[in-house]
Amino acid sequence: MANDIVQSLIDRYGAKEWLEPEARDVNVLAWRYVPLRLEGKWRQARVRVRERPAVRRGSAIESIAPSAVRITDSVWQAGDEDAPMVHVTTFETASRAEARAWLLRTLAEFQAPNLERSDLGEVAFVSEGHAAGAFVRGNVVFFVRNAGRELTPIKPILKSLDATLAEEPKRFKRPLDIPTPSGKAGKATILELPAPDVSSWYRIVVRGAEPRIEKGRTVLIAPAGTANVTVVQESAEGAAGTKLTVEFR
Amino acid sequence: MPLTVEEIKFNHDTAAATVDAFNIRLDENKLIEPPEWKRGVSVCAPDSRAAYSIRTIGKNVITIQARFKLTGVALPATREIRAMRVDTVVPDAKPLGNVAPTFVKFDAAGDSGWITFKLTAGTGSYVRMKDIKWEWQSRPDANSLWKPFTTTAHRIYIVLTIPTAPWVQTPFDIGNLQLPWATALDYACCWAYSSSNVTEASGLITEHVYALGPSIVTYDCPGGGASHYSFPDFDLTAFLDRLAGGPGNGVYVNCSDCATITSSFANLVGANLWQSRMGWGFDLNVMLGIGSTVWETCCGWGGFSYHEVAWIGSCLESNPIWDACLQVDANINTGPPRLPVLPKNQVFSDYRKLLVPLAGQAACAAQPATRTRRPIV
Repeated sequence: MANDIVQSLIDRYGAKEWLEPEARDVNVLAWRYVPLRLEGKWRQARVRVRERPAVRRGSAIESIAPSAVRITDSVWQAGDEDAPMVHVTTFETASRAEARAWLLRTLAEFQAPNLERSDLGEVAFVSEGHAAGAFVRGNVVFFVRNAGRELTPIKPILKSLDATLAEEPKRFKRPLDIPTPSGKAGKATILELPAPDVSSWYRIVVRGAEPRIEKGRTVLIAPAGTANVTVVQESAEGAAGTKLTVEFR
Repeated sequence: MPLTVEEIKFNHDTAAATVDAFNIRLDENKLIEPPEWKRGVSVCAPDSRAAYSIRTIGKNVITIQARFKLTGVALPATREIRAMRVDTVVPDAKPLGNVAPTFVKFDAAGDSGWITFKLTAGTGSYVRMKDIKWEWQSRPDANSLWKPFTTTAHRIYIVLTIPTAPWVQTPFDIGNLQLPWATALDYACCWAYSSSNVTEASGLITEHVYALGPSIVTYDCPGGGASHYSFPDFDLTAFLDRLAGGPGNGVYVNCSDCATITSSFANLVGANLWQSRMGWGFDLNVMLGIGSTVWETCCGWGGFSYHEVAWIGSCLESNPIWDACLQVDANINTGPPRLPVLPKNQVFSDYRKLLVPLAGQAACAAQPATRTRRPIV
């Protein structure tokens, strides 16, 4: 029965094409993501961050994405209580594969019979009329929906959220002191990052390696060769960052 | 002020609830630890909260514990102490009644230590929330007149049984968000007021959740019927914020939200409901979605990819459901006029005949493998 349910979701959303992550030239990873800002007129009304443990014996729906996940819920208002409001939920997983499973899990929360594919992120879906949508980028799923009676188009918000993760900054406000690891080909190489405080988070943009989170640490996995790694610490004060060249032998 | 009540414990045995209150927390942030009432801290009834289970208490005599301080007199000393309800004129009014007279010894420092008192009334037989006031009285001996020395106020919740999952009683610590929340009991006891069995309580809660539309919540037609409060867990903090006039997670809900709210609040007063789905991909009859006054096939979509309700037992076709998300037309298969009915304690196979066109019933199967009780966060 549980497999039938998962299969029906895979069929409905064409997930056979995207549930297994495709190889990409540029991979991104968020670590301890916190929603600091939303581009435009938005003011944060509430925010909540929590760690959700892995589910061992859950329902058929839970079994779609049983992995541990870091969840943020933030509500943003554009003015007074009658103004547009959006609700953004993020699921930060350990890997791209887990994020894809969480995207399918997210799509299982839409009662409408049809969602449209969109070209945002790595894989994205939006509701008819574009008042809600979800996409995956790297190890994070963003789930955005209108939350107020006055509606706002969701696609520009999805696009700006995607940019906060995927864009490679040309320069940084402050340098970030990160030691360059020596990579071991085919093995998880730890990228030592200082633990961020509650109001900052890291994003890692990598060419030539796959970033993941293993046992609470950021790691890089790559075959023999060179990986170019950009590490950015985002905070309310602006981005601090550095660029590393990691040799995998 | 020679005699004072220092502290009162309602939940004086956190490992049991047969003669005292059961374990609760206030909300996401605060545990309600005994003593629930503290002098100088507890002023109004909501400052001192306790919850009792009708079934667990049964015919047992409820007890509380209190600690007193005596000053300005020769010590050690003895006083007879009692408390009388002053929020009602009914003698021994339920719940709890009065605090029965007990002799209290004070040591040389004027401390009484913890004294156990019997209460003169039980829980009563139905769900309610009651703010009570006790006027504490004392006298030096049985031949003297009672003299009042202070008044204390308390918020008392009465539920049918100890709350069922996702609510738990242990561990009784600040990190356990699944302990029953008093701020949710405020609503659950009010919505299920006067019910003396879980079927009635579940029905009343279903009615009250549906009645939150359209002013507090409304069905998420714009967003494709997405979950706002229940994915992946029940964001009770956000929902309570919404009920209290805050933004919460916004105005929209879907069926999973309604099923989660209904079952979690019903289970808080002793029901034993689940959230479970039906599906997958089925056509709809016209209905009145929560917050809507227009008969249509839910937002005009024609169908649902899935639907979720509060369900009892194994969540099979033969089990009853409660659906706070929509009203069906009870005359849909017999002709006009339309007769809106909120599905409460309705066997699924009967409910489905009203929700789904008769030709499409097979696509709307009970999916018991989806049965869950979302954790509270």
